[in-house]
Amino acid sequence: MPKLKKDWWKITGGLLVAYSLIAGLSIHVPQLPIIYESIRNLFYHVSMWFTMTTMMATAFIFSIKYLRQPLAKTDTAAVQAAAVGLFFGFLGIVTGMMWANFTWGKPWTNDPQLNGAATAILVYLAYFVLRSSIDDQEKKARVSAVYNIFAFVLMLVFIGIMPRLAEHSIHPGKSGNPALGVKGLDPTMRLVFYPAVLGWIMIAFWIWKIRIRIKTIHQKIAEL
Amino acid sequence: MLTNKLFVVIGVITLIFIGLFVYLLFLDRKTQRLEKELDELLKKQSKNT
Repeated sequence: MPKLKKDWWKITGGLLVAYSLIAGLSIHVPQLPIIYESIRNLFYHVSMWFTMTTMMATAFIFSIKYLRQPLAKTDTAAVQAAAVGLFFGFLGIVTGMMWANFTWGKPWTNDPQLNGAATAILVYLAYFVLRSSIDDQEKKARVSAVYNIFAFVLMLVFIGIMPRLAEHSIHPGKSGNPALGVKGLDPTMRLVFYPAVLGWIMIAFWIWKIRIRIKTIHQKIAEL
Repeated sequence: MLTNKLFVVIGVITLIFIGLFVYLLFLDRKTQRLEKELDELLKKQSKNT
């Protein structure tokens, strides 16, 4: 049984996501042309990206920490955070393609936001390729920590800055789109959207913790 | 919204999520057991040497 003192945030994460599923489907949403009821995807699709960004920020922090004080467990924390982040990034891409297919008519448009997201994912895939190509543990940790710092900055540029600088983007929340940005978000939708983001982040942190523990068990066994 | 049986879908989705959540909880416990077992094993080993 979970211990409340230690595990409260796991339960809270679960409750928040469950709330967002129930409330997200049952509240009344503004009926906007083209998207209509699919506006509810905002609660689920956009949460994936917020969660990915949070996990990548975590990986970034632990990579800096590793460079300041090289400990194996810090390296593990950084890699596992990036792995969970990548997973949520994939979910974001796939759910976004599904949504796009029904609103823009095709799963992929050459939009700066979409291409930026895809590039950010590739940048992180390269991180794992880089890691698997170095055998020496310390060298692997050090080189990949340096790369990860670049990767995080690149991700912010690709999904946060470039799409906003672009002349035109059909993706909401960016330049040239009147439909719906997070700033112009309907107040009732905020009441579902923010808890959803928070809940998913807690779930992601939980998965991250479990991954770290499994990896630590692996390392201990390897040392036997 | 709730008159056209959408609540059934909400129920199904919520149930699936609860299932996944409990599964994650289960994995958490399982990992904890493994950690304990390994620590005991390591303790025994250090005593023997």
